[in-house]
Amino acid sequence: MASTLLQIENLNKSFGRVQAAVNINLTLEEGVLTSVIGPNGAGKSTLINMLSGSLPADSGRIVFQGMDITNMPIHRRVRLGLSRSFQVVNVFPEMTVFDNIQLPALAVRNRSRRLFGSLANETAVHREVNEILELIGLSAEAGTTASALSHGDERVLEVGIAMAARPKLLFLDEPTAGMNPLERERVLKNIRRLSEQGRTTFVIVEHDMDIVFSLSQRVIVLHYGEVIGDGTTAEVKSNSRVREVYLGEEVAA
Amino acid sequence: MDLKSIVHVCLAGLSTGMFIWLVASGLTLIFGVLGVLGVLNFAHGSFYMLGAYCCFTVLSRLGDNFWLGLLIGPLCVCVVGYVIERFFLRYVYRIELPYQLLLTFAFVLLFDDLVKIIWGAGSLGSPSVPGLAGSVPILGRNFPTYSLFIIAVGPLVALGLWILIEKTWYGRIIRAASSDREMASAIGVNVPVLFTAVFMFGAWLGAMGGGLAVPYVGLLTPGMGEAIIIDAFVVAVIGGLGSLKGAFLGALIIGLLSSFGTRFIPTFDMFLTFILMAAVLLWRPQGFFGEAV
Repeated sequence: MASTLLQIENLNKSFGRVQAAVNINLTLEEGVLTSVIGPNGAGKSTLINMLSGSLPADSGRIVFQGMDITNMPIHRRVRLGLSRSFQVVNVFPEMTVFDNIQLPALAVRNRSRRLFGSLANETAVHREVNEILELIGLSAEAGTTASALSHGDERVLEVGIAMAARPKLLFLDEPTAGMNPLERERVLKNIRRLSEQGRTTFVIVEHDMDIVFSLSQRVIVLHYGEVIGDGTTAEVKSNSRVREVYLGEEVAA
Repeated sequence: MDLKSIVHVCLAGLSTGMFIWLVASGLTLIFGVLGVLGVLNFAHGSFYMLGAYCCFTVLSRLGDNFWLGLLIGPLCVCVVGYVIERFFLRYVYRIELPYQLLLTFAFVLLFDDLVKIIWGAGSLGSPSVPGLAGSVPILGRNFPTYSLFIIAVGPLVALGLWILIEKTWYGRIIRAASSDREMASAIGVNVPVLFTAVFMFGAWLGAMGGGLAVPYVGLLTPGMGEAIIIDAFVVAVIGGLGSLKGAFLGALIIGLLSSFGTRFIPTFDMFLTFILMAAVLLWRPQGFFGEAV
């Protein structure tokens, strides 16, 4: 049975008079590939920022695997297994692809506290990094400097960086932004495959519904900071509120 | 001018340069890592001064053991560095550079007066170091053994820093945090703690410079930090702010230049450093190894 991974209770956030999150209550289950969608300004980024820890909530509670993380700093959430990727490309440009992935693998192992690790451990980290490179399909580029990658590969690397922290729950903020259809297809396939392996539960944040409909087991729709739709792709597609907001359809009562 | 004199002027220049390097390395490290947030630490000269005074106090209380003083003194300054970063600097990272400069400059004035209160305004005589007190003949002329020791310490510190930054996990994470703070915390790095640690380490390096200066300068004075911090800043600027490699090279050049200057054109000695800095900045505004702005 799927167990609860993240529980969001009455989460609120406003910027001045703009309400970016209104009483959000959600429960995310382990292993369910979920998408959060909504038009621009719906509060998707605000929600992800609050959950990952870069933005404090005004009120409400966030519980991750039974632990209250509402006021926990980012790096501790990451170490518990809650990570995110960013909407803009965020890699360490001067480092190689390998080093980019090795870094978070080391950071979560708390290796930063030890000046000189034993060689055996190093081999274990190397193996893990290679495994992730294999998973995301960048093995051939291990020695390439990150800034030399194509845009699509950079985004793929980002997913790899996030995976290296061994997250149980991973938020991907518009993982296909700025990609050509071919790259997009590859990234989405990758995400599906990684999700099926079950190590990590993915939550994708997108503004384009078509991208995620084929992929997601569950779709959550946000509008002006409110959850207006939540269910399977089919359920959300037939939800009148969603159709109204998204497709501008006037749904007759 | 014979070869003998040139060799000796060079050696003197090298030892001066290595002192400047010891101070500039900490300054550069702090700027390089916290530089994303733009921390230019004026108070670094104070770490040098405090390092010297603490080292002096420890060694004179504990049976004139210079090495014990050098071990414990700079560690005391580390604690000072902790307090400054954790309770003051941390709150100004996000605001403009002039405010940070004002804050760190306030610490310069504070520490100068603190030193006067604790140790008195007068100068303290410094001890000699057992084993390194005498001099050795080089090309038939005597050269202080301690200066040779300093010439050896400088490159060792450089090597140690290079290994730390390039070859260890710590270095990797330091480099990551300096290139992108938000990203570093997103991959699980405790960035505030890392910054505090780097600042403390930088303070320790400055204080080590001060401690090593105790037998060298002959006199400890409350204003001794200001003199060296100016040289260290010049070195950091011509080397390229944030570049350790540049700071090392810059320190060598400034050390040699001032040594030759003192020997041949003593009246212009003070000018030479600044003429060089102006020339370098005209030719390469970002310094030798700095990133283009």
